[in-house]
Amino acid sequence: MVPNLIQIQIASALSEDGVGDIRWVLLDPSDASPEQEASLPAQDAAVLSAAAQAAVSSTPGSAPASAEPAREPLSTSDAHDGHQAAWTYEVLRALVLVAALTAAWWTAVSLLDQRGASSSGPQVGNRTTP
Amino acid sequence: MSTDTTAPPVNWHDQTRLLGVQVHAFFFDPVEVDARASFVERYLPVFTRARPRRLGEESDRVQYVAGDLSAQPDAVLEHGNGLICLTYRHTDRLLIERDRWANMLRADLMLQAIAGAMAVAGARQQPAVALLRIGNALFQFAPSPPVLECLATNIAAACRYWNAPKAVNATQLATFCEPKLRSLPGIALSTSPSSWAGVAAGNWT
Repeated sequence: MVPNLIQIQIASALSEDGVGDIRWVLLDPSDASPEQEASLPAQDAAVLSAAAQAAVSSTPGSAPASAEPAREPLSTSDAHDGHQAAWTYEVLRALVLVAALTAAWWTAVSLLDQRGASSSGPQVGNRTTP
Repeated sequence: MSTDTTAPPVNWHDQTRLLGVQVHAFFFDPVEVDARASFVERYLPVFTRARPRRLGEESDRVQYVAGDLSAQPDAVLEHGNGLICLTYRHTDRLLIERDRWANMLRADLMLQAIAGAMAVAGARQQPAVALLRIGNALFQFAPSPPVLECLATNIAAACRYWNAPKAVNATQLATFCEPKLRSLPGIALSTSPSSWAGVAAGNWT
């Protein structure tokens, strides 16, 4: 479901009778609380917000006749996409953390095994006499 | 939304493209223009016969809010089928030379005027045009779709950057977005409007 997008029309031409050559952009009134967004790294949050926030018309001079944002073909994503992306980001971050811990544990075990094997070998300075 | 193509255009003296914005300039003698009687004649000397109607009193500065963007433009005027969002600066230091005006125009003032027009257009749900009047010149800004997209998609990030509790204002958004616009590929180059559609659709290269 598309949230209540705000249509913004910016005129590019000015005449004695009015304005024309209108371009438009859709604004998403961000309903996410600052506390929720603060849990994300700043760069990722900016990307997510950008993806969910605006769509710009690509045809100068053709503003939509009615403000029906749910029917706008250029509205490429909505707030739901942002939440889904945030959830995916959290899962990926957990996976990377688990992989890093596993690698560290495996490295530590390998080093301990090598040290144990070398300590059971001949000691330096203990020469055996025939 | 229909556009009346038969309406006589205003007589801009010059134009250029700055940071993805088509800028039209009108130059005037400030001594002569500032002595005129009506507000429109003084602040919008580019009009010969049009007399847009100002919303509110001259001393009023209404705040317009669209989503998380707010602005308090110096004047908003009804003009035919749309609105004029006017920002003006009175200081004599902002007199510009006509032969090098494009280099003297400050990008932050330009983006601030556009962001203000965006807030007004969103709050009033009418098309708005961004104008900036300084000491001896009047400018009209026509932002390309990438510029509008950059401003619109960075409102939330600007709110966090400025720690704005409710809404970021036009000045803050302009300051935040200027370096981002300068870093956009191709935005500083002079391009024809026919190429804007591809850029707006994401074809940046």
